[in-house]
Amino acid sequence: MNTLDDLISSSSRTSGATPDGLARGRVALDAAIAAHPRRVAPGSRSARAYWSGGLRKQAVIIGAAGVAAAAVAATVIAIPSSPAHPTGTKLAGSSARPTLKTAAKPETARRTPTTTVTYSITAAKADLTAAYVFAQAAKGAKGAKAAQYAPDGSVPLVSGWPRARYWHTVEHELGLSRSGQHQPNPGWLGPAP
Amino acid sequence: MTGSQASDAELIAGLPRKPELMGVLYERHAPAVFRYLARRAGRPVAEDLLSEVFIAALSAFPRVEAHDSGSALPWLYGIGLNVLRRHFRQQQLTRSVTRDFAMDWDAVDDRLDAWAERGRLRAALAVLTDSDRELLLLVGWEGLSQAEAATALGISHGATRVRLHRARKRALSVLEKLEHGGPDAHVTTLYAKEQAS
Repeated sequence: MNTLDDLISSSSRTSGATPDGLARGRVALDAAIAAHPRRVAPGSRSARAYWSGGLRKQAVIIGAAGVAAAAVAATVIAIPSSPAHPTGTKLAGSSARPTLKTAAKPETARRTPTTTVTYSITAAKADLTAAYVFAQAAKGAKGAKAAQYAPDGSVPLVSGWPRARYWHTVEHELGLSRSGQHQPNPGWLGPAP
Repeated sequence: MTGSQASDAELIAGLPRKPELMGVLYERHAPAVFRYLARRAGRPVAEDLLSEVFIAALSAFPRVEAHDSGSALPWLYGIGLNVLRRHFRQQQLTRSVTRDFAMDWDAVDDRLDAWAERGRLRAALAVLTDSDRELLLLVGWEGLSQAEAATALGISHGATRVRLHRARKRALSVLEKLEHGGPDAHVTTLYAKEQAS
């Protein structure tokens, strides 16, 4: 202990805080703590934070992927709104896209084995919605005068569409009645044949 | 962790998720922090600034770790020094007086019995830089070890040892000159006259 230490030691005397002073400080601190943001541990995030964070991002990504898939699907099934293809050509096994397969069968031959005809759509437009496609199909069906079934597979078109009766499918045409006989059960997009 | 039984290091580690643990640190260390403030700024100011130290610590804890001794006091003293500097800086702006940025000499003088002692202490500490004087007082007034004082000031242990040795040597040389009536003795005389008037 030297002179400097003596001086420092003698100048360090001070009484402690009063209880009131400590209490006031504690009140001010508690108010600050209440207003202070707490950091949430990664493993204990609230459901709200989880939804607003990772799960919401996943949902957005999944939603975007769904929209993209729907757009691709719409492109595949899209059919031109104008008669861009003058004839329908049988292209069984062709890789041309989009293709439309239909189990076509004239009404006069409903109980015969079905014949599969493949049409090649060469000028598909991607801006067609399914509803528009169906509307066009119905319109084409109305314009069909009579069924013209060609054994060689060539199918006439009306306004760019196959004749309406070829849109019937075997599954929709046949039903089983109580008598055990098959009865026509047309489930067609357009007017009944 | 219940809080009251936890060590300072555990409390500091838990603060990011549980800021209310600062209340436990307050109950544990508020008296010591108050004395730290009162020695430098006087009791009235210390009462005002006590909560500010812990509130400032709330925002500082992401960057801090407890000292190796396990005590949070060095960290709190370091925050207290910054709070004091800010306080004195604001005082200087409002009062337009030249004042030490981390010391209220009146508060120090009040604890010394004789005028001569006040002058000698002022003269000895006046030759030191702010950081060297704070280092000397952390060890002399607060009883911190050199390593704890290093934590409080944010400097290395080696630098603390060197600076503390230098500060003591310079302060002692001033005191010796005053005792032998050397060139610096006029500091004590001027101070005594000033206080007497």
